[in-house]
Amino acid sequence: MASADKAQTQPGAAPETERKLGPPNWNVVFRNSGKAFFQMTAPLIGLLIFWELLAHSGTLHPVLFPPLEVIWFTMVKQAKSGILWLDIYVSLYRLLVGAALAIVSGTLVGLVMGMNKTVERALAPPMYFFLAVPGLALFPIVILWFGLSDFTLISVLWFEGMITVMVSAWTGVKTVDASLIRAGRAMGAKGMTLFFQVMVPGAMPSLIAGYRIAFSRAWRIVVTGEMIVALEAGLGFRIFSARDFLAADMMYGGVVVVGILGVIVERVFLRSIELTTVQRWGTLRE
Amino acid sequence: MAIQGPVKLQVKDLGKIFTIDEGWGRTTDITALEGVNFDVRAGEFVTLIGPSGCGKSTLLMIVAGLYEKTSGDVVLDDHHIDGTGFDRGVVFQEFAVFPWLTVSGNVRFGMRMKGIPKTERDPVVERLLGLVELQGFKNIYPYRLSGGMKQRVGIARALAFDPEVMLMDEPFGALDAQTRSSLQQLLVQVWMETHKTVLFVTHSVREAAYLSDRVLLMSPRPGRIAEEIKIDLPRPRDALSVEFLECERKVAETLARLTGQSDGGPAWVTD
Repeated sequence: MASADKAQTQPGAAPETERKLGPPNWNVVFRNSGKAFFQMTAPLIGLLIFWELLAHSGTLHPVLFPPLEVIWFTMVKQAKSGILWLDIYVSLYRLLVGAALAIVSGTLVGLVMGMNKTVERALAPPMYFFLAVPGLALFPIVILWFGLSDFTLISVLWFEGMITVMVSAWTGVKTVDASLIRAGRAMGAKGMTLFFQVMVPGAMPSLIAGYRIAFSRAWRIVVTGEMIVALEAGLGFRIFSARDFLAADMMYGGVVVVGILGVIVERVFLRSIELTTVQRWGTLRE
Repeated sequence: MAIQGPVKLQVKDLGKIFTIDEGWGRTTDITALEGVNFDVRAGEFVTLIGPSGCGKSTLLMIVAGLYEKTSGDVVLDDHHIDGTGFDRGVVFQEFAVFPWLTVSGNVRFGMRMKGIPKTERDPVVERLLGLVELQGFKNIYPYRLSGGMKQRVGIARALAFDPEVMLMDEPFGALDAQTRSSLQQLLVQVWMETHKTVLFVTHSVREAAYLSDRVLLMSPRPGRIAEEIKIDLPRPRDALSVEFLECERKVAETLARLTGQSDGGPAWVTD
């Protein structure tokens, strides 16, 4: 017991300052990133080739299944006329405003629910109810209230996103390790300090998972909502109105843009939150 | 050698009853602690030991102010303890190091809560990380530390806001034997340097004998202090000396008698 050496070596935990790193090994870097790029793009390229072969085979109607170059030229035309950028701007604006409102309010309400029994009892039943109601089902009612406006779209977006974030914030607080809460209390944290210094960072993994789902749900609602609320611009509006002109190329192009934007939002916003929080703390493994 | 300072911590007739919800409107009361009485003197190292489920951790958590007591009183210096406070630092079995703070961030946490100004915190962090031999790990997040290192952060963190009493709940229970013994030595060093009053919970007879001035043995549930054994050996102790082994035997035999395991046979492993 007392005989073991005091200065033990701890594997895998050398202090940062003692690490000696040589120059980067570019061979490995190029090989790895090339491999990653290939693995990521190969299935997509395969899909595009398949589509192109099918479109040129003559078995499908060229209006319903236009080849890639037709879709590409349509989108370039849309981009040159500025309509594409307007649609992207309008749709992203709606997404970001709605999601921002949803994240702020959902986080606050959900965290309070997790901390306070009375609030939890009061809000959990309606939360479960609205979680079961698709946001789209609310559109007809909200249109009656606010008319065919941005405000209608953003309210539904906010509400749907807020419910989603609430659930994750609430469960996040509920699953914070009890020993961490005890440690915080033992070191004098209570009330608001305990809340912000222990509960919020402790709930972070769950919160980020919630933001992810909220963003993807919100994006769906923006695009489909634009089809229902029939505003003058937006990616969903453009896809839907292209139907009236039998412009399948525009529809496919719109869907591709929606997908790309969704991926970018997820990668840029959510990945960066993740990188600066849970991944840095090692609570999320890559 | 025995500590003769003034009484620091008094536990008076402490009782704790847990009410368990059995469902369908039925409850069961479990008396975890009943009539627990003991004192700890200033600068003394006192260990609570007992069979598992005897309520020793519950007792420590009540002293820490993290659990409510059912009856009795806990007095530190001259005030009654009700809730947590900066006069007690707690070290947990699960380490409970905050993963979102760096090593130094963890050590600073209690000082920040206490309102110690920024300029005064850094020297304390430096000193404590030196004391627990974690210099150079300041800016590292805990996930990269081994269990033993995490618990050293736990010890430094509990010392940071300069509490009167250190409360340690089986702090080395989750560690492997080698790490445990090196941390036991480290704790003795820290204790001799800081002169803190320590109340320590363990299930290891050797650990109790190695660290303590006094070992309090608890009976099985409902837990109460059944015996008290003074360990009057100079520190640092030689865990293989005859005097030490005699003390260890005494603690082990008393514990076996209390738990009804004594059969007068040869001694067994007491760790």
